[in-house]
Amino acid sequence: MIFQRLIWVSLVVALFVGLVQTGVQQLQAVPIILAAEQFEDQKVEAPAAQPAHAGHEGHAMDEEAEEWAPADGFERTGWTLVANVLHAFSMALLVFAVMGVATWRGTSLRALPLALVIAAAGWLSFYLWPSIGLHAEIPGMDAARLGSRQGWWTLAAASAAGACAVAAGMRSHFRWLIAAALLALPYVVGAPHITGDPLAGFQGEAQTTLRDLGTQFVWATRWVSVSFWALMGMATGLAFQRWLQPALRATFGEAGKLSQMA
Amino acid sequence: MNGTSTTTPLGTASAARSLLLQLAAGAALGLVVLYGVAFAESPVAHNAAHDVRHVTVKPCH
Repeated sequence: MIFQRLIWVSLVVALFVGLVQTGVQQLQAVPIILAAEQFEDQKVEAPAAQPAHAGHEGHAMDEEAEEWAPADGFERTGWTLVANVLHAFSMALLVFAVMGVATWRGTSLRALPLALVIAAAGWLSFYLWPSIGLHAEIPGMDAARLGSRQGWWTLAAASAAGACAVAAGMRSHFRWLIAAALLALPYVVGAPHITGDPLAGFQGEAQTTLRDLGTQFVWATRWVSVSFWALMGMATGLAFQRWLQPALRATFGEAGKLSQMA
Repeated sequence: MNGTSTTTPLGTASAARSLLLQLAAGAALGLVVLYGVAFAESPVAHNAAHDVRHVTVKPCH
């Protein structure tokens, strides 16, 4: 069974990447979140804020007080580490699956370059394409309804991943056209945005500071995503070569020859 | 699942199919975990993964 090994190898990669990422994020991105949270109690709910939006999504203070949340400091960083490891685990599983399919199709790339190409596709699909439409947000910003943003995010990520798969896997000359159409799809649909200023609930200096923090956060998350996928590409490439490639080649190698004979 | 790989053409083909299914199962698990970390509405999941959702540019709040 390769499945069990796939899980273990993904977990090893995830522990490594998750740990480094937590460190990287603490350096630049998390301080911005914490700084923005200092202003959250100064927020005046705009009258335009939809009442249906309240509750959990609306970040209502009274509700939040009831829900469990990790205490700031060690506990919060600890849960961030857990979430980072799980996030890296999910991405490692996807990268390995794509590497496996590429091996099955008889790719000429070696493990490390293959992993780096797939990581670049991952960066495009899971970071760049969704984030062009929906920018990184600091706490306190108003935005369109959560569900519609999550739906659009999923559409943008799936379209970009589909475009990469078509460009890499299809033999037809139309593949570039299909890939371009897939890339355009989420932007034809359009990302959900509110009409007003996302920081309308703040005034004066708080608003200026938050706007600055928002810009800084976009850049911080950009570097976080680049470092995540670069690390993910290297870690999955080396791990694949050592622990997964031999088993896959033993099976796919013969199957590949078989399909060439047929 | 066919764990034994034989050298007959049929055996290798089904072993390859089994392998692809396992890779697909791994990818499906990855998507489920991604949903839990990035999108799950449970307030506990949201609060625990809050900073990671913001930093990885997932819609949050």
